[in-house]
Parts: sequence; C-alpha cells; structure tokens
Amino acid sequence: MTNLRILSIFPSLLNVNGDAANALVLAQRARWAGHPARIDELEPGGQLSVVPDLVVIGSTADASLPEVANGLAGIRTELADWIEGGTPVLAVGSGMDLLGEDFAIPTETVSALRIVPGGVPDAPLGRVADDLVVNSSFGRLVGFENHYRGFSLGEGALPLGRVEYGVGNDRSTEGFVYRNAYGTHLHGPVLAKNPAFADHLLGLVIPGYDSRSVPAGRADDMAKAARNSIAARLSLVSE
Amino acid sequence: MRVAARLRKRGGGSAVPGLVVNRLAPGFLSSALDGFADGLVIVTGSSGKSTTTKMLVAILEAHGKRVFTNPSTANIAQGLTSALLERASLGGVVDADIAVLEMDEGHGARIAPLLNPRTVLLTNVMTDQIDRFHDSEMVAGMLETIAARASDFLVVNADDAMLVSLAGGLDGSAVQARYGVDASVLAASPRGLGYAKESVTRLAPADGTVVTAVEGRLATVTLAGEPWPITLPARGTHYAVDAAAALTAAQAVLGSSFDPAVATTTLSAVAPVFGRGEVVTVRGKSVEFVLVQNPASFQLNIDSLQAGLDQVLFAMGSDVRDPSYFWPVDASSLGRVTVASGSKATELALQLTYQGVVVDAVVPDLGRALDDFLSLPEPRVGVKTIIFTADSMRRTRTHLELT
Repeated sequence: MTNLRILSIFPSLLNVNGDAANALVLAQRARWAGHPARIDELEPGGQLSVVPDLVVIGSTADASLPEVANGLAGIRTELADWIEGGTPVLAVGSGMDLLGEDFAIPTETVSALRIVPGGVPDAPLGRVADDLVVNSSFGRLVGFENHYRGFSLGEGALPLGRVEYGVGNDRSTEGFVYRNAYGTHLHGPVLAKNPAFADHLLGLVIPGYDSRSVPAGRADDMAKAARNSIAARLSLVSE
Repeated sequence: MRVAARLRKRGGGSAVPGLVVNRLAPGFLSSALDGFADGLVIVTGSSGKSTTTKMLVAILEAHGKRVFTNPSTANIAQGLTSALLERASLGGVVDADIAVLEMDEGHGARIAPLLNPRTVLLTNVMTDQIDRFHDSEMVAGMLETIAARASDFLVVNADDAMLVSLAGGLDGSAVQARYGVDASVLAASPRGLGYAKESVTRLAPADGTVVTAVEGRLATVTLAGEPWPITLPARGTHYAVDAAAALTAAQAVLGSSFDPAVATTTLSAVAPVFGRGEVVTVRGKSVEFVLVQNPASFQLNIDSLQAGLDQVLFAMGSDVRDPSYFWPVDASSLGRVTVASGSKATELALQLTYQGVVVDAVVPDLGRALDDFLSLPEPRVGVKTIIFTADSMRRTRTHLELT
C-alpha cells in the first residue's frame, strides 16, 4: 500500500493557532482506517520533492504575512497546478486570504497567490475573536474565528457554508470551496472537532475510504461532545 | 472598607472587595502605591511572574526591607486593591518600605497610567490566550506601555528578542539591566526557551546576570561576572531564568547594599509557588501539581515530567476560551492520561487522542474527577500528577481546601 502524502505548508510559520495540526488529524484518521500516511513539512525556500495527495495551509499574525507571502510565491506554480488539478487543499485564516487577490495590511500590501477567485475586501470587518458555527454540506462545523479581515467570493467559488453563529466571510457566508480547495476562518484543528469535514477530504483521495474504527469512534464522540458543549453555550440546538 | 477586605474567597481569589473600593474611591490604588519610600516594582510578562516575584520579595526581605506584595492570584486591579486594603491603615497608608507587584500584562497596561513604578521587570513574551491578546505583537505592545512607566530601572530578559526590541525603543530615563542564559544552557534546551522570538546573540557576563549552568535543581549564575551557585525551587531552566531576573532586579533596587551571598542563599531557600513543580500531601497521597499557563509552559512542563507516569489528571478550564493554540504543543510524551477534566475536557482529550496519548476517562466535573483520582491506589511510577490551567488550579485548590 502506498503512503498517503500530506503536505504541511510552512508549519514553523503557519501554526500560531494550531492550524498545522490539521495535517496530523488527516494522517491519524487515515492510519486509523488502515491507510499508511506521512506528513511532509515544507519550509520557505525548501524543495518540493513529491506531489502531495492533500495540502494543509495554516494561518499567522500580520507581522509574518509578508515573509509567508514571499515564500508562497516560490511555489505558486505548483500550488496552482495542484488546485486546478483537483488536489484537496485546506487553507485556514490568513492561509485562506493568501490564495485569493492581493490585500492590504496596516504596514503594506500583501502579494497573494490569486489562485482562488475572490479575496480580502478593502474594508476590514474589524476584530472578530469568538465562536463560529457554520452549516455546511458536511453538517454543522463548529470552531473559533480570530481575524480582522473578511473574504469576498469571486465567480467560480462557492461558500463552505452559511453562518449560524459568528461572522465568517461577511456575517452571512463562511469560507470558500473552489474545485477541491477549501478555505475557512475556523482556525486551529478544525478537522479534529469536525471529523465529517476531514473524512470528506480523505474520501476524495482514498478509494473506498471508510472512516469507521475504534479510535476514530472514540475521537469522534469527544469531538461531538465538544461541538455540543459550544452549541449549548451559544443557546443553539445540540446535534 | 476594611470590613470588605475580610470577605476573601477561599482558593485565593480576592477581587470582590477591591471592586467595591475601586468604585467608591477610584484614586485609592494609585495613591496607596505611590506611598512607599523605596517605591514600586512591577513584575510582568507572559510567564514566570509569580516565581520571580516570590524570589525578589525574599531577597529584598533578607536585605532588611519590609515588602508589600500581592498574592499571585490577585494580580488584576481589583485584587491589588483588596490586597492593599488588607495591609492598609485607616488613612490608606501601607506599612512597608517597598511594593513588589506581579501584574497581568493586559490589566497592567490598562492601569499603567495610574502607576509610577521605579522599576519594571519584564519576563518574556510567549504566545498566550490568543482570543484575548490576538498575537504576540499585541502582548509586546502592552508590556511596552507598562515598561514606559519605569523611572529608574527596566529589567529585561536579553534572550527575548521582542523585549530587547521594545526596551531599545523607549526614550525614558530608566537604566536597563539585563539577564539571560549562555549558549550552553540554550543548547541544552532542545525546544528553546519558549519565547515568541528568541534573540540571536547571548548576553555576556560583563553585561548582566547570566545563567551558565542548570543541572536538575542546581544552577549557576554570574553576578557582576562572578559565578554563584543557586538551588531552584523545582527542576527546569525556566526557574533558573526567573532566578536571574529576580537577582538582577534586586541588584538594581538595592544598589550598593546588594549582597550577592545573602541574595543567592535566600533565593535557594524559596519554596515553589503553588502549582510550579510542588509536591503536596493531599488526603494522605503525594501529589505533584503542574500549572500550564501557555503553550510554551505546557511544553516545558510536560517535557520535564518523569517518563512513564501512570497516574495523570489533566484539567483544562474556562480560562482557555479556545484550546486551538495549545495544539502546537507535542503532548505525546505523556503516553497515558488517567482522566481529562475541566470545562474544556473534551477538547483537551481530543488533542491528546490525536497526539497518540491514551485517555482513560473524560470527566468534565473537576470535583468528581479529583475525588476519583485521589482515591486510586498509589501509582506504579512516580507520584500522582495533576496538570491544570489557571482556572482549574483555582477550582482544585478550593475543592481540596488547599491554601
């Protein structure tokens, strides 16, 4: 059986909120289902040695964005080829912003990758740091958002879901779906708390993927309890 | 006012009477803190505040100073006012020579305009409470606001690049004093010191207080270029750095009356702050309490635990609004956790599970989890170990009636 290759982009820079842990979540769930998996970590200036099956891009604070954007420019061709070719990509927070159009931060304009149609609008939302609950095609997604900028979807991109609680892109839609690339403001280990989202991504690349296993069952009970405890705090119905 | 001060909660929280006074007499806090003959020292930063404050107070007392300090759980404005009330005369005068206060960076920055510290000690900037502070630049900004109030001395961790940078940008009158570790101590910490940004160069012994060796609880620091042996309150390089910070501040405050032999001997006798590596007997069982304050202290503390512990209770409470920022911590060395508890128990258990740690039980009710855990027979390896975040620590102290 060949290894599932999960590429974690710049984990030393894009893991402020624990977003790089999504690569671990994908790898562990694949292993629990009997599929060997490995995580390849790419740092700025590093060489891309293999074509990945899945890609995870996390988020960072504004101070590091120019450095990250610079590093991403060096692999733009590959990222664009993969996304256009249907490779599943998860991009979180500012990692999501960087896949769209250029955008302004207080100190400068960040050169983004312009792969996904859409981007950060000129007018910022203001600081958002609160729970975010989204209704998506994978069911309810629950997590935390911590951002200043919104996201405006361009032609050809769809939202990941509708905002049930929180702000997301624009207080109405949240995230993007473009081919098999997914952007979201749900930061940190969104795939751990929302395993249906993780299983959707794994199902895209593992033929006959079946997530059911004892460890996944235990983890998913914990995840459901965590989602419901947040929902209860927000006076939303439990799943 | 003095009656209100007696309404202290068990478990260390004491903000309520202060809240009342701050509303009735808003000038009380600043005028009381300006009333000390030898001035005010503020200790602030992401972590190490409590241990550093305790060490500095002990050193100053050993040099004959009468010191007013705040209990570590009372480091917000209301708690400070409460602590002052307990010691103040009816006229609002506190009978002490000098005040040494541990201050939370967020609240400290907010009340900084009210304060006139002679000395400010900055410990470090770590990624901390993302939902509250957003990012480390914001923490550095808050520390800068507090540091700018120092009139005489600014004591700075030379290994923390963000602190060095903010200190360099201040144009006040305060003289800078520095402390840090040498290259060998840094090299012995494979994951670094946990600061958001580490300085590229190390401090030379001629330029400040330098930790030159750490071996278990024994360490060596240089004071004015001279090496001095010290004993730390618990294992861990971070405690040696706290010691260097306290010695540097004491040297600055005391000037020519600073006695390095008295200072290092006193410091070596300081007991750990609750939850920082302390082993306590509870219900007839030995228990080690370990406080996790932020991702860096989470990692450092887990790395310094004995390997193969078979009885660990890990509690994460409501002080952790969103546990995402703890996921960069590699907790796999824990191997097995007997019970995950606290209001964030399920999210904690989720992280541990994905990192390959076996979680035997998830019990969000901390009181029940503590009772069950303490009633288990003695562990096969080490002592019963309770790891907690600040909120769970307070609840644990209350539940177990520990002062």
